[in-house]
This record gives sequence, C-alpha cells and structure tokens, in this order.
Amino acid sequence: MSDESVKDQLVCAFLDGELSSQQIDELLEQLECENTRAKACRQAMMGGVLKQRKAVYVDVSAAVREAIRSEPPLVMPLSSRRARVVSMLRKAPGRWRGGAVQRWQVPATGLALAASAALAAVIVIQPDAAQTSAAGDMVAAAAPVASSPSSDLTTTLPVASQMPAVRGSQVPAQLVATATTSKRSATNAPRELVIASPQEPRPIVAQWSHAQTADTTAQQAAAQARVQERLNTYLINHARSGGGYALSGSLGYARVAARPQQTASNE
Amino acid sequence: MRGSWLAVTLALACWPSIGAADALEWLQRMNDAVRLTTYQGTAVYRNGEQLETLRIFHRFTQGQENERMFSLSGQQREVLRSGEQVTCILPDQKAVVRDHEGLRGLLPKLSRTAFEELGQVYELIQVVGDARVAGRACREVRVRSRDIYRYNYALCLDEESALPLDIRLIDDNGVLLEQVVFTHIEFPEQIDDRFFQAAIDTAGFREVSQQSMDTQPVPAKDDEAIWEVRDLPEGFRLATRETGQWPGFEGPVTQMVYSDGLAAVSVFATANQLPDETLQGLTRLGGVNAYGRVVDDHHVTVVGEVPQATVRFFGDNLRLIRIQN
Repeated sequence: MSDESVKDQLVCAFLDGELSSQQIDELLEQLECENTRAKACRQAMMGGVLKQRKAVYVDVSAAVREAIRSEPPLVMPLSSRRARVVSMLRKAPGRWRGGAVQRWQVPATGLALAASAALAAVIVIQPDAAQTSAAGDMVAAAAPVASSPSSDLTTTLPVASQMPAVRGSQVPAQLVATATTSKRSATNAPRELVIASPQEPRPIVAQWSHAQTADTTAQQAAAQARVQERLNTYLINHARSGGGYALSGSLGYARVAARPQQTASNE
Repeated sequence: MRGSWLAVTLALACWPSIGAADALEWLQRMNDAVRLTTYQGTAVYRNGEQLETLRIFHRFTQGQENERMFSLSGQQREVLRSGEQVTCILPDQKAVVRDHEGLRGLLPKLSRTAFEELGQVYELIQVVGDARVAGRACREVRVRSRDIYRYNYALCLDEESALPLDIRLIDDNGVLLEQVVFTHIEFPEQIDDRFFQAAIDTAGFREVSQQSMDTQPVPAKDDEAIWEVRDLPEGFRLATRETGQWPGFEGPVTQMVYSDGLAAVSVFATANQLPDETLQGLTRLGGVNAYGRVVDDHHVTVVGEVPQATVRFFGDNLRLIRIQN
C-alpha cells in the first residue's frame, strides 16, 4: 500500500470518527513533528512507523490541524470535535476540502466495521466505582450519563454508550471514569459509544449512517450524538437478548473474539 | 425430441438446488454435531473488510461442552465457555468478563421450533456438487428467505461430522455481510484439559459480570398497556418481553424480541424522550438496520440483523393496547 493511500485512509478514518483518541493524539504528535521539519524528528518518526504498523503519518490540512489543536483539553465529546473539523474543512484550501465534506455526507462502507465494534461492546468495561465517585461530579457537566450499581470486586456493567469519549493520553485515570452518574445534566453534550477503560482508554465509535450530515450546528450535532448513543444502547441489548434466538447469534460470538479494528482500512 | 429437450430444461431449472428434505436433515445433524463433536481448528471471521483469525478448541465430555477461542491476529482476546458460563478475557482492557447469556457458542444451534417452522419462511436448499472447505469435503446448504423480511444464510457442512465449516450471512442482493469459515480443522478423539485453560495471565485483571447489568424490572400495574405488532411477518413470534428502568433513560423501556428461529428483531419503546434525541426514520450499521418513530406519545425503535423492510414493517405496525390485569 502506498504512503499516499495510507494517508488517504487515515484522513478518511479521522473524518469518519474511526480513529481512536489515542490515535488522534499520535496524529497530533506527528503533525507537530512535521511542523518542525527537523530531520532527526522525521527519522525518529519513521522508526516508530516501522516498529508499529498502525502508527499514523498523515498530511492533513492546516485547518484540521488547527481544529484538533484548538480543542479544549481533557474530556471533549468526539462528535462535536468532528463537526468542528468538518466546518473548518469547508473553509480550508487544499485537496481535502471537497472530499472530506463529501465523505461526511455519505455513509461510510466502514459501517460493518463499526457494527462489529458496537457489538463487541457487549463486553465493554465499566470504570471502577472508586474512580467514578472521585470524578463523577467533575465530569457530569461535560458528559451526562447514567449509573448502575457496582461493588468493589465485581462491577456491574452499564451499556457501552454511557461512556463518554475521552482523549486517552491526556486524561488521567480518574477522569476517564466519567461514565457513571445517576442524573442527567442540564447540558446536552454529545455522547457516543466508546469502548474504554481507565487503564488504557481505547475508544471506538460506532457511527450509524443517518447522522452523517455536513450541515449541522453544534446543537444538532449534540442531538445526533444522543440519537446514536441510544441506538448503540439498543443494539447492544438486542445482541444480548436476541443473539440466542438467531443463527446470526453465532456470528455475534465471533465478533466478541475478533478484536474490532481501530484504524480504518476500508474504502 | 421436444420432450427430451423439455426434460433437460426442467432439470437445468432445478439444478443445482434440490433436496429440501435432505437439507433439513443436514441441519438437524449439524445441530447435534456442534454440541457433541470434539474438534480443534483455525477459522477466519469476516465482517465487511475486517478479517480476524481465530483458534478454536471444542469438546463434549461428561455431558458438558467446553470451548476455547482466541484471536491469532490483532489484539489478544480470548473467550472460554464451560457449559452455559462464558468468560471473555480482554488484555487490552485488563478485564475478565463473565456472562451467562447472549453468547451461545461459535457454531449455531437451532431451536426445535426453528426446525418445525423453518420451511414456512425459508427455502432450504441442498446444493448439489462438490464443495471443499479447509481441505474437507462439505455439503452446501442454503437457507434462503421466501420473502423480503429476512436475510439468507449459506452453510457448508462437513461431509463426515456435519459441523458447519463455513457460515455466511447474505443480504437479498447477494452481498456477503458476515462470515465465519474454517481454514483448518481436526477431529481428535480427545483434547487435553490444558487446551481449555486461558493462556493469558489474568493476574491483576478486574472481574466484571454482565448479569443484571441493565434493567430494574418495573412492577406490573392493574391497568397495563402493552405493545403489539399487527400482522407480524410470517414466521416471526414474540420470544421475550421485558420492561425495565434503564440507566440513562427517563422512563421505563420495554424491549420485545421477535424471532423466526433464525433471525431476531428487537422492538424498544420508551416515553419521555426529546424528539430531537430520537431516531426518526431508517438508519443502518453494517447488516443491522434500525427504524424509529413516535407512536401514541412513545418513541419506538426497531433494531435487527434483518433487511430494512423488516424493521420498517415492525415499526409501522406497532400499536399500544390497554389490558386489565
């Protein structure tokens, strides 16, 4: 696969929300590196790419870079982030301007991949109760979610969609434990299906086809994210309840064993 | 001359799909085989462009099934099953997840009802001809929907054991949605206990249970409203109905699961949802389709690994009826 092709896929993956927060962080680091134009930096990066096949090296537009860099640190819903990036892309010069927005408008063929990710979330992990209580109030305003009872040794899981999207490497463990608070906040911060754990945040976003529109305000994007969250909640509960009745239930079993991919290799 | 030409034409029209009775017999053999056969092998799981390689061990001893499956590609991930107890080990999340329900094993087991009613809604076809999977001769059985309300399945069953070596979920346009296919399989007389023990060191991992994770049952009232789907597509029957208080939802959520024996559709109904936060219309995610609309001040969402027409039919034919307990 050529470098250009890899770049294209990664940019598309970013626009489709298929890059994890960790990968976005890696992207940011590499963009910083790219800015320096330092030979040593590039060599170090190429070494990393050789060692880690999934490392990202992407030439995205300055607008994208700026959109990522300007986002608030710590907890930030991904959908809002993407909406802003798309908005910036429309104004940005360069090759990604048309393509990026167009991709945002059409359903990605990566939907099957996202479906797999969503169903694998049947076994998603709830952050520890202790961590949750320490951080719950702080995060409630940013990511309103709901609680479920838990104990020290055995944690009872809520559905995956109750976990907010977080920037993995920037968020301390306590802050990742945002997923449980019993009351909804007054804000309508968008939430998405995320597979994550306090130890190693690894969000995977399941994107349903209907919500991929370009002309959305932040408020509309937030509402769309809530629609998606509810759909993911339903999907997971369907997989758990309906799998036993269906021949396709066996495929669901395979989905669990098969690790959902975290980089987009489709299209 | 004309007669013989007609005979040939008819034969060609029937070929290669003949033998529904044989196909049913093969499916029944498969049902026993997936539970009782001892085997080990390597399979590929395909979903769209995602490919994962899985190693599988399965045995039936002293009246109990044991199964172990782990990923050979990508991130480490391991699933152990002992009877009804399923354990998932997720090194990337440093967790051990236990679940009693939902995950019934890699290979499909069909209910007695499914066998009795399959023929009403699916056309069972045994494909004539040689097929080979994982170097073994297999019988290809197709389960083709008779209407627009379900997907199709294609199975290739091992000639000797009747184990499904290849399972494919196919839409009505012939597009492959998902597949599990063995690339190698062996049938040893017995498999040692050590092959059913997790290879991943779980020291320090969190123990997580998924049982009772989601709902708090809502007590029944004297005057109860229940959801009903009018004129269900043939073959679909209500399998379960549960109402509970879900985390993150304002009011109680009712989930009804309908199944035709092979496919399943869930209907979710809830009140007190903001209109702009609920799905209005159709959407899809891979082979899964969903449809949402408002009915009698409730928002209903239909989700299933079935075609778009099916979720739409369920949604458009839902009604709330009041009954006296």
